[in-house]
Amino acid sequence: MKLRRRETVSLQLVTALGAAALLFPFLWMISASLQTLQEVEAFPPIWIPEVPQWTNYVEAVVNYNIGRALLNSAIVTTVSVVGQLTVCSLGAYAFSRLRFPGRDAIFLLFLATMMIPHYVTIIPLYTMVWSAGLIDTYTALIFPGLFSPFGTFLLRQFFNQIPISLDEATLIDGGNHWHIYLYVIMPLSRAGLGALGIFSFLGIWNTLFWPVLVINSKELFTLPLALAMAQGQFITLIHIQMAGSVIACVPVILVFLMLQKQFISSIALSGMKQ
Amino acid sequence: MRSRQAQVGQTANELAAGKRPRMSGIARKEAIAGYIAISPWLLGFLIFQLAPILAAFYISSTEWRILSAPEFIGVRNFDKLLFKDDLFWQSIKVTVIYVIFRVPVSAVLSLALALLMNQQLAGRRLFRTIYYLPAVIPLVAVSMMWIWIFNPEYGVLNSFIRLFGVEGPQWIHSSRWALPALIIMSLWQVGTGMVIFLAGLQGIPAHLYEAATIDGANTWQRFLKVTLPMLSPVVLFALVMNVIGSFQIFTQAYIMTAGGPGNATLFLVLYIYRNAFEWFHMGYASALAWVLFVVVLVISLIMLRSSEHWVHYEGRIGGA
Repeated sequence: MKLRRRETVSLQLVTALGAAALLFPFLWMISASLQTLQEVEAFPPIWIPEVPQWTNYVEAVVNYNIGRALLNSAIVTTVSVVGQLTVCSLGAYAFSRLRFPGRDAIFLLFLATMMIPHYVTIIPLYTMVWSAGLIDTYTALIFPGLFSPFGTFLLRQFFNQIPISLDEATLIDGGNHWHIYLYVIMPLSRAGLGALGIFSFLGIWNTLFWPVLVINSKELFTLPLALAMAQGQFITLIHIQMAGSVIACVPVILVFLMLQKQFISSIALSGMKQ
Repeated sequence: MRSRQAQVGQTANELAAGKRPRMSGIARKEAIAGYIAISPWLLGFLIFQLAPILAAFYISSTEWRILSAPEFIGVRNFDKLLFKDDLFWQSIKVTVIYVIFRVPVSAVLSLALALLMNQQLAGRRLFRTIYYLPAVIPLVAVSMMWIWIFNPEYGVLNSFIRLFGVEGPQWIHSSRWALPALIIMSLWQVGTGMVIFLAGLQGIPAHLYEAATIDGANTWQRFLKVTLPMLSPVVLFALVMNVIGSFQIFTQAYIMTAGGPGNATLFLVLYIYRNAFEWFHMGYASALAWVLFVVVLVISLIMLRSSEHWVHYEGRIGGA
């Protein structure tokens, strides 16, 4: 659609104004994270702190458990994403490429349960983790997330688009089924793996519900949990809370800026977040 | 490698010869690889998906306080929630209001943004990044941020409203404004919808617009007669996904309002959480979870069914 000049200028203006409005809360968060408590509570609001209080970040990391939580989130997210990609890609490979008795029955059963949402299964899952004595462990944080039904389904769709003649060529050249997986399917599915990786990174990094249930001790808090607890316990320390929030946002924003194209295709693919 | 027909043919021959079908060496190798490849996933599926679903069925028909054994009570949980539990109906009311306002408004906003981003504007990529950014950051951080934005005394929102000489509402501290506040906040994250719509817009062939222009259609007519019909499958998809997601709102209410004030933001998932993990009514909470599932399922099905009347699929003759 070609637009006239005046329309273009006004659209440009609307776009810029909208963007400024959306950035507003971000700017406030960053600014508040660098203010003293008096400045945060001042009226009218102060936008530029007199002296940027970088020590807020040090305090958040050292005294308010954010440093440890950052480490925990990094560990849990990395292990979960790598594990999920491995487990789901192997499963998807079996569904898409390998014929064995019972495969289609398993797949049907799987499709039938895919509609059932997380909050239905979370109560039995919690009781399972609880009776296995796994409350307050990394295992409880990581394990249930490794077997994403959605991820298996998504990768299977990707694998199905790869021509079967490539498999046959590998077999004729003397390769086996694991060679096909490693050297044909995986390299040709980078887009799908990237999409799933980003999707599960976001989900695991940002999630609060499951950590709230299975983690009690401070040493195992993930970032969202640490922030939520700080909100309850240090309710008046706005500047520290904002510093912690910035710390939680930075890794996501960095990954987003680096992998923007894949991010966008992963959202367009999956169409959902949360 | 054998084709599927060859395999079927072989099996048929074996059956005709009165033998049980047996696998050739190659097929057996393939099957073994298949079982190995699927086993980690299958194990996880059975333990973390299938078993919990079956258990959730059973648990919802019990009275279970986790420390003692579950006691079977049939459909009494469902009877209680439907006929005796005012809080359940409050949570349904609050959740439905949230969904009814949030889903359409955010659909219109994200469609408008996607149309903007589809124009040849300067700095389009930068703007797309900015618009999408709020949708990727942790919801907990978003909630922390907005608690202070909504602060009635020194929050930036009410400071802004004061510029016009009016005192703003108490937002999340008022039972009247807490729900609207959470709806407003959710609109900050319209980026997800925008990205989905933008992908849809870019898939509309340019020749349709050219043909419409030759036929004398103006911008508005092209939007109504080309853009909307061609985009309608994406709209349906985005709406259904948004409804499913919005029904599950939890984090914001957990952090910002704790369901209050006066249960004004007691969303259904928060109410499930309370029953299960604060009061340890596992059976009742499971029943609530199934009700939520059925509500979302029925609404999704109604939306899909209604889509026959407004979603246009290319390649189908005569529309509708």
